[in-house]
Amino acid sequence: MGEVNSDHVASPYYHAHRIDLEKCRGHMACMRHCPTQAIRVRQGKAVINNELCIDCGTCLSVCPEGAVRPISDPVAQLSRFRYKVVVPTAVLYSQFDPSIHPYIIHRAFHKLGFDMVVDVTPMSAVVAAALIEYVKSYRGRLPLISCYCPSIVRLVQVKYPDLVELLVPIDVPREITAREIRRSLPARLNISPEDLGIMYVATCPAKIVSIRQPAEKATSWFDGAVPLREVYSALLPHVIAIKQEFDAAQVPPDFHFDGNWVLEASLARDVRTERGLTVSGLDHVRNILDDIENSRLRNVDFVEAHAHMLGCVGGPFNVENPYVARSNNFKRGYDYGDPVTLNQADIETKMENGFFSIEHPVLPRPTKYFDTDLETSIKRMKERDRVHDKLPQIDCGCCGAPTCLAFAEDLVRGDADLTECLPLSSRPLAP
Amino acid sequence: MEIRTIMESLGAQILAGEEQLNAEIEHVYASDLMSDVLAFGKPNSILLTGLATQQAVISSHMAEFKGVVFVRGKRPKDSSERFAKEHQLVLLATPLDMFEACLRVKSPHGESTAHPAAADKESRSVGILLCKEFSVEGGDFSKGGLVSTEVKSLLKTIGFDSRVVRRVAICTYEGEMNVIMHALRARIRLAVTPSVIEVVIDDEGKGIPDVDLAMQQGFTTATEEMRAMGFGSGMGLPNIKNNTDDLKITSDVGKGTTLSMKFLTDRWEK
Repeated sequence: MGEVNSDHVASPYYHAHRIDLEKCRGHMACMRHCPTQAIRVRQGKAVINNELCIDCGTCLSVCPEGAVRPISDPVAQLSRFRYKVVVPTAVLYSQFDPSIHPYIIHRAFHKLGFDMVVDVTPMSAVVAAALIEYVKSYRGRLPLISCYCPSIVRLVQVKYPDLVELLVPIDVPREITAREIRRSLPARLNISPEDLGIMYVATCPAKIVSIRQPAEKATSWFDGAVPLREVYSALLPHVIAIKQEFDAAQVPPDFHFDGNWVLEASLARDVRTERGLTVSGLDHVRNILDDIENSRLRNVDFVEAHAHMLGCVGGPFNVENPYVARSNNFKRGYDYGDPVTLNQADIETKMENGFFSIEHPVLPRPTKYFDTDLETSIKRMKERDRVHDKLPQIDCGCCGAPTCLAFAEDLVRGDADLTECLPLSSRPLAP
Repeated sequence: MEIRTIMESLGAQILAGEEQLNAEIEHVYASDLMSDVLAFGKPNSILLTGLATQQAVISSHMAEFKGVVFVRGKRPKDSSERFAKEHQLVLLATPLDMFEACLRVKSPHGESTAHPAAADKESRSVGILLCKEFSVEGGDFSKGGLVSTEVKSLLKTIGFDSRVVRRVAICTYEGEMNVIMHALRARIRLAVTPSVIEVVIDDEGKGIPDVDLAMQQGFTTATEEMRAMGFGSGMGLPNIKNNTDDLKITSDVGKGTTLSMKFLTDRWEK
């Protein structure tokens, strides 16, 4: 018994993490921290509501038992491909000491058995330029919201369905990079397309989910994705070994490292600064999305939102503290970074040809709290308030719900028993 | 009808709350499903149930019932009796089964009402299903948007179409900000039915001398300070008008303004 699927009901939504029921001791850390209140503790074990989960991975970071486990494609799975390509997130470099040349990290990937390492950042720069063009020429409801963070896309789908139309229909750099590799590489190497395997290294479960079950296309251009921290452990010994005999003269002349696009504000900085807004951390993002819904955010044309503080360097699969990673990124960028030169005319032609466009529109995925007709739902809502008034309202969590309000909601939906409220039934705490 | 009458007609035995036997009840509700008791039960009822656990007792307390009758001779084995005593609920046990017990209960109007369907039908005839009141203090910009965000979240949770929710959110927000900018305080009342959502903002303040003028796009009395915060561009009331299906403004100079907004839930765009 390793990973146990805690949800027995078939759900149309795939998630990249599971509760390991043997390890879970019902500490409720995940329940309290979940930004969409998708977790309940039942019979001492955490249960994730698949419809509400937006794959941000907060539960993974806070679990003291390590019982929330990522489900990933093992690197070994790629061995079925003759030619293996890895596209690491730009954040990966920032996890290593800034004195380490990015080429060393690429060499370490070769030691792990990869035939090619592709840096995603040149595409990030090109996609950002396309995005600026899009925002400038767009005439419609504002502000537009960046599609870059898959957790934010899911948050909007689930909790802010009315804002789905504001998501910029431009695909993410990682997917476009993988697509271009797939289109050009087999011919260049004279191999069959089936022999090519492309793997992504991810900073959060949401990116793995966006590859396993994309919101905006039928299937991803990647063959799999692994959490950064797993790759890091495998890379580190090689990185140390290579560094010891490394000489900068070994770096081939065509090696290029951009070093940007790791932090929040990478996008909004370029999109007409005075009309752009950058926000990170789910609490702050939700405040901003609420403001957009109330049509309060009047002087902003573009919102770059990240689920994790500081952007992807704050992702739960990272090894390094986000602030250290940010500092590493600055230093490495200063020493080795070489921003790509953009060909504006080429970008405009590609835009017209749909090079950057998402393949399928992102659709709303509103949550059904009460799966009943409006009249019954209104009554249940009324009862929720009535019950909530009588609950102790101390949000102790002993019932297994994060707040008294969430408990009242579960209750009128028939998903909880009033006797589970310990302060109310004045029952002694279970030993 | 007194609970004592019910006890007698059911041949029931008292388990708790003897001193409450003279309490008057208005309805009888029969169910084993506690989420239904919570959703459809009315205050001042007594519950007939086969669920002999504390859950039935706590649910009845939540639904503001006066007591619980356990049918088929069942008796709760947990701390139900203690809970009932603490919260002034009557607990009775009858040897009759649910069907028989329902038949034997005489309504205060002389006919049997102890029927789940009947109780359900009655509660369906109520016009406004959900009413909620919020208060807003003038001048407190830090709290601007809290009420509209709560109203929005409530309507979303119920399951209204997001386009209607958006219209309500925008208007409530504009109204809320008007109170914060121009009035002393206000009560915001939300009334919800499946077909109409109504938001009434009733403020105490200086009032609007010329409502027609205030409705004009660009007309504003906001200070520089408010404009610096992104408000007071004279778009508030026109924006509300564009997003409501029915809007009434009455104002008493020196006393206050009442803004009454109605939204039809099947009209998505205006």
